[in-house]
Formats: sequence, C-alpha cells, structure tokens
Amino acid sequence: MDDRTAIGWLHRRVGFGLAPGELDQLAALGVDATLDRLLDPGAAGVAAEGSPFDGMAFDPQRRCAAIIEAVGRWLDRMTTTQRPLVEWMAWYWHGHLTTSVASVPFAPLVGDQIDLYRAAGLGDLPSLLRSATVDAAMLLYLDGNTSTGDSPNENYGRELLELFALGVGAFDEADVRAAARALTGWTVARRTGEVRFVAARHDATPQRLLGRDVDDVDSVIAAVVEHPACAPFVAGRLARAILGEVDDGLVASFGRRFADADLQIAPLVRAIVEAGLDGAGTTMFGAPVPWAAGAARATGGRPDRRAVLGLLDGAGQVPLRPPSVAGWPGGGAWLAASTVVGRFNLAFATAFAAPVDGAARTAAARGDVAALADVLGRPEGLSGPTADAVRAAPAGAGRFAGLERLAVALASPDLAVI
Amino acid sequence: MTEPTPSRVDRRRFLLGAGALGLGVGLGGCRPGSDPARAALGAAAVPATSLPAPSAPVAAADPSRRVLVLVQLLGGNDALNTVVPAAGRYHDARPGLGLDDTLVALAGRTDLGLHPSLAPLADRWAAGQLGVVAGLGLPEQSRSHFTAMDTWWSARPGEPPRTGWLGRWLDATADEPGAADAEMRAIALGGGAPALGAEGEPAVAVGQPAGFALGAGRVDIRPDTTDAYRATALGPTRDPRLAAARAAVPHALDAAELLASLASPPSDDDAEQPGPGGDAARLLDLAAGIVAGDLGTRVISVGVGGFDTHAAQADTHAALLADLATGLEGFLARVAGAGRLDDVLVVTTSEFGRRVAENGSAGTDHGTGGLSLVLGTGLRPRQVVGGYDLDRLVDGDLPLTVDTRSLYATALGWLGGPVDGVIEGPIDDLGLLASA
Repeated sequence: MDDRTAIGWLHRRVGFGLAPGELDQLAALGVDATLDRLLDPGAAGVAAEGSPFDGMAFDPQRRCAAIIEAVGRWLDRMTTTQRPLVEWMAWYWHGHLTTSVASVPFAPLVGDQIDLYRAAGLGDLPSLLRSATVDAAMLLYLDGNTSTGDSPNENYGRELLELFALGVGAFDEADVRAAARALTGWTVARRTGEVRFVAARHDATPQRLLGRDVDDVDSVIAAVVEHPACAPFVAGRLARAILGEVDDGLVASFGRRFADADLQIAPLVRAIVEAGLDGAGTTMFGAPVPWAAGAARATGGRPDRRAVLGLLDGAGQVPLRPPSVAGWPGGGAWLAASTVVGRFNLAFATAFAAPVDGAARTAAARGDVAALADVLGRPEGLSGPTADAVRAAPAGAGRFAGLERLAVALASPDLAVI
Repeated sequence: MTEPTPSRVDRRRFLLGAGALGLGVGLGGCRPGSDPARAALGAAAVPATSLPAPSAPVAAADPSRRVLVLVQLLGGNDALNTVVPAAGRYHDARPGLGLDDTLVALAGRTDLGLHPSLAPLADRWAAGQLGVVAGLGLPEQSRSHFTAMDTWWSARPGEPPRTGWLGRWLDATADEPGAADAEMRAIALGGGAPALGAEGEPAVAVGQPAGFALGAGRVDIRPDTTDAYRATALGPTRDPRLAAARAAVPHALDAAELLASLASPPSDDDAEQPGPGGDAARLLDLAAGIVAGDLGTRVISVGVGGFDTHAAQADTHAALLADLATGLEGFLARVAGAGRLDDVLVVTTSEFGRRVAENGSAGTDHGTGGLSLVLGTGLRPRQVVGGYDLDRLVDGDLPLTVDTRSLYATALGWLGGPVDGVIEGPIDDLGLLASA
C-alpha cells in the first residue's frame, strides 16, 4: 500500500476514520511516525484526553437519560479524539470484556469501566484483567457482587475462563467453581457504586484452578494469564478483530510474541498492525458504530444524539449495550437487512447534518468523486459503480447541495467493507 | 462459515441480522440449575355441560400453505400470573402480586383463570381456539437469560448453539413444493431471530420494523437517490466481502419495500400515533400483513421484550399482556379477513418462567417452568397440557412437566414436518392438535 492508503487503512482498522486535513498532515509524517503516534500519542506530543463521561454523577434515579447521554458522549469522543487507537482499544475491550447497560443501567459505572479500558487497554493484560474483575459495572453484570463463600456465583468465573482469557476446552467445570470461590467477597454499594472487598463474604480456602492454588483475585488472574492457552487466545481474538481472517500459524506467532512481551498489549497491537500493512489478513465487514463515528469525523456531520441512537439501534449496534456477554457477533451479521437500511439512514442523517461548505458536501456537490474519496479516507478511490452512482445521484441545491450524493457515498458497500 | 455469494443470496432467505437488539433484554446471572422432576402429563378437562359447543377444528386443505407464528416473549414471562392457578399455595407465595377476583374465567375450568389483560382470549378458549401448555422447559433449565435463550432457540441443551430449531426445519424443507417460488419464506420481526438461525442462509431478521425503511418513516428519500444507492451495489468484484456487501443492498431494500406495503395503514384517528398499540400489537399486525400478502411464508417469528419483571411487576406485566392480547386478536382478525385463519398456528413461548414466590421488590425472579399459549382453528378444544405442580416445587421453582421439544415437535408436525433430524430427544405427543 502507498502511504496515504496505509494511513487510511490504519484509521479504519484501529481508529475511527479521519477528519478533513488529517490524512494530509499524517501523510507528511509518514506511515511509521503515524503508527508510533497511534500507539503512543503521549510520546508524540498529543495532549491527554480525560474521560468523556466527566461530570456524570452516579444517580440511581436518572437511569435512561444518563444512558443516552453516556452513549452520545462516547460517540462524540470517537468522532473527535486525537488518540484514535487508544479510544479504539477501549471500544475493543468493551466488546470483549463486556458489560451492558441493559443489565447495569447505571451509565456512570459503565462509563468508569470504559475509562478503565482506555487507561489500561494498551498496558499489560494481567493488570487489565485484574482491574476488570473488580470493576463495579462488571461485578454487577456478572454477579460478582452477590457471589459469596456461602453461595458462590459462577457467572464471572465461567466467562473469565471461557470468553475473556482462555477459550472453550482449556478448562473444566472444577476450574469454574474454583475461580468463583476464590473471587468471592467483592461488593458494590448500590447507592454509591463504590467497590469494597468484604472478608466475611470471601471464601479464603485455597482452591485448585488450572493446576494451581488460588484464593483471591490476584492468584486467580496469575493462574489464568500463565496458562499456555491465554496468550494465543487473547492475541488471536485481537488479531481477527483487526485483520479479518488470519491463518492459525500467524495467530500462533502473535501468541508467542505476546507471551514474550510479558503480555504487554501495545507490542501485540504493533505486531498485528504491521502484519496487516504487509498484507496479512483480509477485508472485513465494518461494524456500525466505528463506521458512524468515522462518517461524522470525515464529514463534520453530527446528527441529533437521540436520532443517532435510534438509527444505530436499528442498524444493530449501540455502544454500552452489547447483545450478550459474548459481545457483538460481527462479521456477516453486519449484512443484515436492518443494518443495511440503518446504515443508509445514518448516512443520510450524517450528510444532512454536515456543513454545506465543508469538504465532504462541497466535493459531493461538485461530483468530484476523487476528492470525496480522499475526504472519506479512501485515497485509493471509490469503486466504479459507487463513483458512477454518486455522480448520478441528485446534486441538490442551496443548503441541500451535495447532501444526497454524500449520503449515497457514505452508505455505499465500498464503505461498509473496511 | 461459507461466504455468501451473489448467486446464493436470493430473495427467499436473507442474511441473519443482529435482530435480538432493541427490546431491553437484560442478562441476569447464572444460578445453579435444578434437576427437574418430570411429573405426569395431562390435565383434567372439566366436562362441559352448559358451555357453547366449541367450533369444530378445521384442517387447512393444503399443509404447505400453513404458517407458524412463533411469538417470543423475551425476558422470561411470568407464567403463573398469565394463566393463573386458583390455589392456596399460589396466594401464599404472592401476597402482593397474586391475582384472584380480577381473573377472567376459562370456560369449563375452575382451577385456572386468565390475567385480566387477556380477557379477549377467553372467547377464543370457549370457541376451542386456545390451548395452554404449562410447566414447559428443557432439562437443566438455566436461569441465565444468555444460556436459557441459547437452548430455547436451539432446542439442543448441552450443546453450544449453532442453529435454531426453526432454522433447521427451514433447511430441511428448502426444496418442498412452493419453496422455490416463495417471496418470503421466513422472517423474524423484533428479537429472537436466532430461533430461525440456519446452516445455510439464515432467515431475515428485522429488529426494528418501524425504522426499517429508507428515511426511517421520517424523511422522504427521493427515488433518484434510492436508485443511485442501489447502483452502488452493482457489478462483479473479486473481493468476497465487497460482493456480499453489494448483494445485501437490493435484498435489504426489496425487503423494506415489501414489508412497508404490508403493515396496516394508520387510520385517520391515529395519524399522530406510531401505529396500532405497543410492540406486540405492531409486530403482529405486520405478521398478519405478511400472511395476508400470500408470499409463501411458512414461519414468522415475532419477538417482544420487556418480560423480565424483577421489580414492580404488576402494572408492567398487565400492560405487556394487554398489548399481547391486542396483538393476538388483531392478528387473528386480520388473517381471518384475508381468508387464512385456518392456515395459521400461533405459539407463544418464553425462555423460562419465574419463581413462584414474589421477591422483595414487588416482582419475581428467574424461574423454570414456562407457559405457552397456542392459538388456531386446528386445536383439540380447550386443552391444558402439563400444569403447575405447586406441591412439588424444586428450590422454589415449578417442576417441568412438558419438555419444550415436544411443543416444538407439535408445531413442526402441524407445518407438515419433518421432525426427525430437526428436533432430537424425548418427544411426547401433547394432544394439542386435532388429528388432521
């Protein structure tokens, strides 16, 4: 890939697209410097960004409004962040170490969890897993909160082993029970969301987990991450999320590199992305949320928050509300009829909200498909059918100039595939 | 998973969507499952003496025109407050939530009554068009939504979910007469689409029918724009994902246009309203339109959420059941108007029932034995299969008296089968259907 194409690719796979002008700025830096900047924005001089959920006080009474607010704020952050890979990692962990506001309807608590994933998402896996295990929203979602030595709840223990860290086949039911017992004692105060460890609720008897003795969260996490299945499982899942289909040999090599790097996530991401820049992997079906954030970023169009939420819901993906603890199934699921229609409607709403004198709308109004492709992060150009279709769509006039052509481009299959 | 190519994606079966969204399904925690005691089947039917004779059950002339409408109540519908036992133990366990003098009588029975919101269904019962299956579930019934839904959809307990029971049936009958010409063989509206998940091409899932149109019902999209959008999806490509994304566009737009033409037009009175009633009423109206539209449809799943009533259950449940009753009656009336009442069988289910005792939040927690209401003209009149064995609770939950797979087998048998190769495991003849 040439530099501009590579930079566009990077921002589709581990970012949320590019704003007008960003592609030129980053192309001037070059691919290597761009990748460094993505992986370590602090070292590149990019200002720190706090929590997008700042100021949202925990209020058990104000649930629905708070959820809508939190989702809107996170979408805004994806659209404007100068640290896209860091934010993308928060988004990735949200879909892997999942929690849903459908069961934990306290937006500030789930927001805290997302903040954790932003802060620790490129750090080391053991710390990330440990923090996630005793996170308030997670304790509520997977019942750690009500799990006691007298009556342990196996939900978190099972998902930690099966979905989060090792995968099916690497553990047995006795391991699930052992993890569950060792993790008892953690509570969330319902009125404040504060997490506390209560010794009286904890079973301190040593348990046998994956062949090791464990009796608390630290020993459980140590047993899990030191299991040989952990590095390849976590690395493989992340590799497939970034590269699409990859062969088992490549996954195994990522697993080895991850283990060699003491389970530091940033070097793993670098290895995966560099492999992709070298041609590893395949095209992928883009998920609605990163696509929507990218469309807003590229066009400057920020539709009404409630409308966006409704349209994302129709398209099948709302941040903070994965359909199950297994996250979003992804892949071909994004070709569903309702996703296709939802994507068109989001494209139209975004194009409508985009400033008529912005780069996207003006290129569309002129029928300048090459310039439009650049703005949309596809410097390699749009396909023949899409280019023809964009030019054939109504040009629009006055404050609607470029609206329909831009919508057609945004909704096109070209942009549904990343 | 095999790549969908343009030649395999056709109008009959669309691609599976994330259809289980948007309906507020919570995910509770797992509690250790109980080992259910299987009580004997059957219920005592009180002989009818002074009741109107039920309508004679009718068999549709052509089984290949039969349509199964599966109504999925997502969240775990409280069976005990839907079809209510007149038993002391029920009232002891539910001092706050228990229903008594407001119950609607079921003709010929003194042991069970209907939640008042379901009053319209009492006439269906009297006419022999409503059957009840109680104490329904699968072995090792899980109380986790996640796990329970997987097996509720797959009917293969103990196995990781890959297909839905109806998806397997659709696969098995893909070559039946009429299948090739069907415009819409199967569709899932609202949540619960995985019940139709198949090995080949899964059925279309439209999670939010109200918004399932270009413009989402709020903006008029010009035909030139729609045409241009369709044109982005033209042409061959070597990339299988781009090919699939292109193929998805005309199929999505065709499905949206088709469904838009089938929903009831809003009456002048409710021009301001989004349409008839709540979720159940709206989705069942659309289902009725699909049946009336004679599209070769064999399976419609309607998934309605909100049934996970852990707290303040009384009003919420009453509203949900009222919406359901409106939806069911509206569906049957509209289908009858199209001359197809004898072609439909409606089966309601939920992923589990709820605990017998109310909890400390004026609600109920996840339980085991669930309920199915079955509606149609092909039923043996006034059947109650299984029951509420309140004297033999297991950890405070109703024992399972009917295996869900037997209910599913009944439905598939009514469709003309096959059952073999689709549903495995213990299958009993529930005696719900008139022999046909």
